[in-house]
Amino acid sequence: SSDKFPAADSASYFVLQEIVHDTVLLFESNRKECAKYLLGLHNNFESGIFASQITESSDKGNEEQKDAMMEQTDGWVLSEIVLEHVFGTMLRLPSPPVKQVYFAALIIELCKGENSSASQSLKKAVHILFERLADMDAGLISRLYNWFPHHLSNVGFEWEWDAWQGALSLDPLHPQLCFIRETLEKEVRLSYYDRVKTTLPDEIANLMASEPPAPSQELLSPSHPHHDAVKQLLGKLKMKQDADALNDTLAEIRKQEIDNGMTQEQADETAREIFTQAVLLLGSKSFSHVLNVIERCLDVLRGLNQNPSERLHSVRIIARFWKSNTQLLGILLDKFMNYRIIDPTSIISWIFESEQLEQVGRSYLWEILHVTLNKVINRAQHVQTKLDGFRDVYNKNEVIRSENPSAESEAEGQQEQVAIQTVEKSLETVIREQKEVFMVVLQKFTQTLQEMYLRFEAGGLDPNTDFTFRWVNGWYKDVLRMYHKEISTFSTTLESLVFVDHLDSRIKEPFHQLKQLRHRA
Amino acid sequence: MASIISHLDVPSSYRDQQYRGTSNQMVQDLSSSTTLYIGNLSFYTSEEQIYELFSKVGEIKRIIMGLDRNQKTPCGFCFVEYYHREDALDCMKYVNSTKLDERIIRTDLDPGFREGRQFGRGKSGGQVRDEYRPDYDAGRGGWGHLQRIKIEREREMAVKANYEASDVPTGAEEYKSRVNNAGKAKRARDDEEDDDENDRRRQNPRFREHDDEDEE
Repeated sequence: SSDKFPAADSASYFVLQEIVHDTVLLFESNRKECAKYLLGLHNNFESGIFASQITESSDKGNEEQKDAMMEQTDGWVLSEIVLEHVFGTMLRLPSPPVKQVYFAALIIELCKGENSSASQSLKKAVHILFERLADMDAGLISRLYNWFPHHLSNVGFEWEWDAWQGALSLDPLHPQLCFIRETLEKEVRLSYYDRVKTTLPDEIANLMASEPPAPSQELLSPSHPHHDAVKQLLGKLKMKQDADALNDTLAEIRKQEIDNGMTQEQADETAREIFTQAVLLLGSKSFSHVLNVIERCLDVLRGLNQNPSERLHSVRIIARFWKSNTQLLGILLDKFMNYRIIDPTSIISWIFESEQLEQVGRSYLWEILHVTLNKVINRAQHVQTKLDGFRDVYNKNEVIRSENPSAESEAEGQQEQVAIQTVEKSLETVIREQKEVFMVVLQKFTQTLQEMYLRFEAGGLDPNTDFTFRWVNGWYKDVLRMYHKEISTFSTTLESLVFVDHLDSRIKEPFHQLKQLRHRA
Repeated sequence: MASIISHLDVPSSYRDQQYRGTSNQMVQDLSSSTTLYIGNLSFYTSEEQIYELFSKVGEIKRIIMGLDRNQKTPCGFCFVEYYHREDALDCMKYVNSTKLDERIIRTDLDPGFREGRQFGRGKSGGQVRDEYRPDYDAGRGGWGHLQRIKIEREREMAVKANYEASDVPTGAEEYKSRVNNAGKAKRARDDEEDDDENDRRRQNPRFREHDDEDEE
């Protein structure tokens, strides 16, 4: 605290915090008015409390004059106070009151216009937050590395990267390095590889992938063991031939494998590899293209994914094919789930494989996890909404029917009842699926953490010194927090099946805290 | 309480002239729509970029790129369809007038996608606004179509004025008369053909044969 900023334990700090927080929420439907009002707050107070705003319009190069101007005005810097509380709201736990993207839009609005002191204050805020990343909660770090590239994409990707050169020598899983890496990856998604590279000093650019994202060319290699069958398959797919024609080629591939001494299982795996890669390759032109190809081969794809291990294999194939384009990987896994070719459990199993856990500091894994969990939640909500709708209609119709009872209206009522019962059954199914999925996630997390605790303690080390452990633990708490509503609906089951006695108490602790959260809500 | 400020999550005053239905139906469609029209995109903005930005607001059902009617290439607009209306409304509040691909984009609530609405309605095949646009926009094909025609004609006249010889060297008379006749015949043919078509072939480097591999 200084004469530029109210002390954090002062009444003034509290009052201003409340004002900014309330304004941010009240004006949510018009970010432009919100920004205008926030930056004009000093008009609501006695003069002299807040420093007067400085415009940078002229004399950009005249440091002396600028310094003189800064000294002239005493008082708290309003834009710093505003940004402090905007970030405070954005980084609220367990969740912010408004979508993240609102804060991004609001901050962009604040930094516009003649009042450039907000831009300066924002730079200061980002540097402070960067310093604190080392000890920050994983969920909050991810909010920040989602916000920052979005913001930069609105201001021509201009940033003082040199100030962060020191972070380059840190552990590759250090939160600061992860923050920069993820920021760059998301900048590329919002823009394109070459453009982003031009905005960075060389050392920082080294954190980018060595090449722009591209599909795997493995299938087209002339040395591919099934080169001819691949050509045939691609040809048939391009000519939009039906499932039988496609399955014929697959049968040939399987036969070749078995003739070469492979087992049936290995032959099936090869067929799945080739077909899935062919679909992905043909669809690699754009997102719409791949959807079209998938829709044409739905039957064949479903036929290749009839049990958990087959579905897990498909996830691995897709992940390897689009290794360099994590955005497309996430979208494809989501669409494959939509088409019910793979299921949420296969994706979760894949995430917790050791090969993926080496990528624990990367955002894309946890984004895929969230998409998967959101999917089962949305499915259940969708069916619930449908059921509520049917019940509403039925109740309304019953009132009408009771005024004029007849055999016909009774039959109608019975039909509606049957429809309701069907949806009720379907709701039971999706809710059961939802619980199973959450159980698998929590099982994987707790087992992984238990294994890590044992390993570190056997070596006499504190797991909290290890970044892999910190990320896994961080994501674990984040999942509990984000989905506490759904998890609480069957916490008793979880107590008996997942959070068992022999589980380390440090792993059970966040789960118990979650239950407290539920009771207060 | 919230009446002291105007809400950003409302449709603009644009009304689709080719909308099939009564104005009541349009109002109804708009009030239940989960679809957004996105305008002022660069021709080079990809589906993936659109996906990345608009996913921040909610789960996207599908994206339909706006295409030049003749060339079937992106012509600077698209539709984004969400599963939930709330997400479309949030875009009006949080994404409209921010940047995508370093251009300020415009979002608008849309009554809903119908087959055919993905094509530009300008005379040249792109969007109407690019027909009459007077400024140079590198991300949208450079000059607007009418402006480009105007510039090309001015250039042609300047070239003629600068390079057409008024004194013909001896011995070249025969050549000159042949050239003149060819020019006259060509101009006559041009008068019959579609001026726009010729201009487009000459000036637009993105003009190419219909790609066989494109999906329906």
